[in-house]
Amino acid sequence: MSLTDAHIIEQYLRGELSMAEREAFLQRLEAEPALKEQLRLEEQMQAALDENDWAQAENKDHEEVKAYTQAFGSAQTRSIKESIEQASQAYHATQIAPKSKSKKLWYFSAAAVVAFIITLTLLKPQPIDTAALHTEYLAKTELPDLTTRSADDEAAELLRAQGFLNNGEYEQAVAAFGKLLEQMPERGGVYINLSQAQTALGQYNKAIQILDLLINSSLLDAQKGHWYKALVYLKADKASKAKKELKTIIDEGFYNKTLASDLLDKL
Amino acid sequence: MRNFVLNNKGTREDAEDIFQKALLQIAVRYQRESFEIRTEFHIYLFAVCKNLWRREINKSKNRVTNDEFGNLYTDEQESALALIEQKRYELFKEKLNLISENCKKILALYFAKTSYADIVKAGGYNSETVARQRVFKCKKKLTDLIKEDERFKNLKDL
Repeated sequence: MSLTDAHIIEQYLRGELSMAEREAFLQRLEAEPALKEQLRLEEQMQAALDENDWAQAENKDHEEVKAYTQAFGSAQTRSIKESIEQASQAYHATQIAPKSKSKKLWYFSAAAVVAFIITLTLLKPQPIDTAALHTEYLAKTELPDLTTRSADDEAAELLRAQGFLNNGEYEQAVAAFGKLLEQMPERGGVYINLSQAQTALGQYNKAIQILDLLINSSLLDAQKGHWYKALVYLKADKASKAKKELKTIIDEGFYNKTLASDLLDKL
Repeated sequence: MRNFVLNNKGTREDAEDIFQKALLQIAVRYQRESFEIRTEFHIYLFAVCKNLWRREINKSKNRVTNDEFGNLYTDEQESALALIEQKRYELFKEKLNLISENCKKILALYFAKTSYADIVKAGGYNSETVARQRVFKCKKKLTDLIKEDERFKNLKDL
């Protein structure tokens, strides 16, 4: 950004532009997304870092705001709130003489902080059971049904491969889907099911390789690869890598965005 | 904390309400994410209280100047928005602490909406042009640091 633009942004934020200059600047904002983004950041910085102001958010549909809204409405949060309120009531109940107010307030504050620290200890996040999350979220995932859109000759092979997967015969499923992938690399579902069978056998690296092939392809199902990669990483107990995939899904608005947001919160 | 609220147009009840909200905010955030409090707890608690009160004052100002019924949020949404605003504030402050002392000083004046004439005097600059260039460079440094941080991606569209 040029010094001139920086100067205009400053003048705009300080209300120093004339009506005509302001109008021209607003028109530029519509045509120049980078300028608009810079203004937005400076507005936020200005308000947050000015002691007499505050940068207020308004986007209640922001994913994290929604997640926290849910958290603030949860039974656990209500219970914490009640504990804090009870401590407050206890303070008021013991309030005897107005002269002792400040001392009592101090006692209340100290008591509330102590209660709070104890609560924090009790609420300390437990180690995450990634395998359990994998099972839970795999169950919520609609796996591709490969048989419905296939020609008869293909259908038989696909049905056979899917049968192995459904019956837990993972080695046969890997072999069958491996062959099918060579024959029909345009079927996204084949990559996904092959990776599922490999994951079940603990062949996580191979599953990731297959899903990377899908992600890097031009197939419609390419974006689904991120979701399945996140699940593979969960199964492999690689929570940080799973989180990275989930963030990509959320940021890019990819397949299973809502489930990804839900799962990311749990990690 | 009580004195801060009382000295900034609040009442004793406001102070108590803010104190309780701050405790709740920290508890809920602690449950959901691994965040580290890098100062003593009471200092952090005071900062959260202070920001919640700044938020309240700002809301009152907006109520006067804007359409009162423009944005209605539930209590839970208000709490969630306040928490994310706090996260954004912490990111900005963290990055501000990474730049030079001189930059911090001039930006403190700038963010406090000090006029350039006064910035020139306070900083001992030769002219307003020099002061403007200095603010430009310091602000660029700060915005670059913020933009580079992965957390900003999530916090910019609030």
